[in-house]
Amino acid sequence: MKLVWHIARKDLRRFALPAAVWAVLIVAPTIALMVIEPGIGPHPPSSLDGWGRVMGIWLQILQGIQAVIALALAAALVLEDSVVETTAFWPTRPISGARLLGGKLLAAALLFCAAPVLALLPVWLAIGFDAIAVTAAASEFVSRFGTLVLFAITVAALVRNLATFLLCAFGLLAVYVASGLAPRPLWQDASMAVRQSREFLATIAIVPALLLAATHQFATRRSVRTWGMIAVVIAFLATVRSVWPWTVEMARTDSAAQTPRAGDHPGDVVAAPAFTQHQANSIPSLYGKTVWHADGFCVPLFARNPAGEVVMRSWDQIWQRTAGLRILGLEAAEQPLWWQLEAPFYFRRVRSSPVEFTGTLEVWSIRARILGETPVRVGAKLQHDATRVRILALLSHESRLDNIYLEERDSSRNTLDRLTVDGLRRDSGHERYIDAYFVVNRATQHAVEAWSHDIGATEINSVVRRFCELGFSWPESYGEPTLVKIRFERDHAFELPLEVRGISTRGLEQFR
Amino acid sequence: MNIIETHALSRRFGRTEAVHDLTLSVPAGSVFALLGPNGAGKTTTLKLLMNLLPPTSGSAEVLGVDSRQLGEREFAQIGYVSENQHLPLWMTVRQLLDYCRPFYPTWDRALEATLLQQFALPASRKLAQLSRGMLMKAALLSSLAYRPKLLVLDEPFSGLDALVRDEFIRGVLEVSALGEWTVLVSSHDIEEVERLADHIALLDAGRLRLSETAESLQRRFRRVEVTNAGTGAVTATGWLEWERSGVLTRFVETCYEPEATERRWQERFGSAEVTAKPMTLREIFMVLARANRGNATEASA
Repeated sequence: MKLVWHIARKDLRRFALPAAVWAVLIVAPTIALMVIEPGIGPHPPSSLDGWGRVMGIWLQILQGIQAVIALALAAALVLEDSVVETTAFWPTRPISGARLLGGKLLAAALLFCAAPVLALLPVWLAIGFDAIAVTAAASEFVSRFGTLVLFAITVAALVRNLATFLLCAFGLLAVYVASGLAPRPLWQDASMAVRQSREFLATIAIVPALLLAATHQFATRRSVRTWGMIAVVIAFLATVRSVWPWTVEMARTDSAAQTPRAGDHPGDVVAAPAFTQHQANSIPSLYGKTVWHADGFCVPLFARNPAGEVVMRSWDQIWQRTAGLRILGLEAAEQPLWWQLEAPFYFRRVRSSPVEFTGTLEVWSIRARILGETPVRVGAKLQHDATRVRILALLSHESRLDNIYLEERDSSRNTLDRLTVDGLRRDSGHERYIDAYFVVNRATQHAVEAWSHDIGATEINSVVRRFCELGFSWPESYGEPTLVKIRFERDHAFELPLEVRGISTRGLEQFR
Repeated sequence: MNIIETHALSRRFGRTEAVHDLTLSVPAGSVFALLGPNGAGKTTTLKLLMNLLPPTSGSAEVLGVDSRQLGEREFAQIGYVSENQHLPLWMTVRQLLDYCRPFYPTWDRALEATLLQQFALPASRKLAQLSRGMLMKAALLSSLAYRPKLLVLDEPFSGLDALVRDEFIRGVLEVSALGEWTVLVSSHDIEEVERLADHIALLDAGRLRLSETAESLQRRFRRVEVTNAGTGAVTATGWLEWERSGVLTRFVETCYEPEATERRWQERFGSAEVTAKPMTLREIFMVLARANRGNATEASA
């Protein structure tokens, strides 16, 4: 280990400067994303959207450059002690291939993972990341660049110079991407769980496969055999992605739903006995009600078909308004909460086809809490967890306040957990909360829920800056408004059986 | 005891056979010169011995271990200096030594200091800023300070001017006196190594032409001049570069044995005057090189 560190220390000294420049290239755009202010014109949505798009393009270009530089630097780290060159310095010294690989991996981990994470740490802390957000951001960075660097080390161990390395690296990446696209027609017959299992297996196989190939190459310096191993791995990945038939439970991102717990009151959730039909050629909405409990209530958020795919989801969360007002203490808890699930536009049905299927409702056991509140004025701030909210602009019409334009700075981990109305398809399976904004004046007992629309989000190194438009109607007569943010957080989820037997046009009336 | 042995060692690069069926022994304690013109297969042979290249067929043993199995323990006893080796040029001489030192349990700090002084190397200068001769000395120093059992020098004098070459040779000779090690040195020019070598092997077109001690070589080669040999005398087995000019006949005797050879000459030339002069290694090398080239030309014709 002492000699491994000795080799790593030599490389650290050699690559300290280029790696420091690379770390600056990592940190600088993150700071830029935070400090560059968008210019807000007379039409805030287009100003913010335009700013977000331009910033997004620049950041994508920079991220591409960061990746290419990381590849090249990691390759240079290996080529410094070339594995295939017969003129290299190390093979005639008492340095085994395994020890050299150990030194290279250690140096790469310090240069390309630890150093940039340490450089990003002050930025993350300044934004307000807590320990969980920092850990998630660091893990995300390390897994992304760690895999890239390991790939570069493996390929660089097989080539003589940087030009050949770049050619081989991009060639292999192209082959890997093609191996994912080629079997796409075979995906159609597989269930979502099987598809997720295939991608899961293909993803987790990459790091051990790269480590195996790198170890073999460093230990034996038999390049032909190592290239053969890489070819076998690519063929294996293509096969797994095409024909793997089983579900791997660990791979399921939608496995949050379980059976109801003791205090869940699954009987609270009542669905209308049939669909109502809004459009003849779409799968119509599903309505129902549930019982309000201040300490937590159950609401269906998704309907799934027998294959486990989400076919309906809660678009217009009508229960949120009622639940929000009750949390704010502005409405009595007498009536049930109404809920509605709708099919996305891409689930069209043929007009003549019957709407009959069995499936499941994914029910969330939700706890609601007020995250914070701030006066409605430009520049006002609100902070909770790793999220910082700032009011950028207000839009009034005559004597009525209609819109608030917000900026939310957040961690990408937190953003992944957020279920939004704008999301078309729920397939990440990470969502665990819904945020809602209310405009409130407690003195006059007025409160309105604001519909929220994401204008755009830009992300780099786990830092997300997004802009939202809140829409509502607040007459001057309601008094000075305060913006309140409420979070409906999933405590856990469970599934209830769903059986659809046809279409009804009576909708909610049948409950009344 | 032999420190290196090869058995029918061969290496092909595509259709080119760089080393063919090489069977060679390097005795322990010898300074063994592997000679041959450019492209003879010397560097390839050394790379095969150092496990930098795998052989196509045959095998080699270095320090009693199959060359394919050479590991940290063996390389801790081998010093390798090559004109082609990529040194970490960004390091200073001191940093190079500091980097190498921990890998060798037998590293001798006192010897390092002695050699640093003998070679007059500027410790704080980067390798990239050193002249070619200084660079080779730095490489030699980093390969000697741990008192290796085997020192392998691949064309160490290539590109060095006469003065630097002399210093380098003196350096090797001086350190040879400091320990008991075997030196295997490859060169395309006998002049470079004749002061060093006590064993000579001649490689040509990947084939071993001869391998013996320098003493034996010098003992059996003579440049012979015969005055009034008569017109009947022609070349015989073991004679090279036979020529006649007027009354003077010249040739190189390659199998000289004082009594037997002189008796044979007397039978052949009768009362003619025969003078036999010893040859330098360089002269012997040149004669052999010309002979091999002639054979190759005949073979290709």
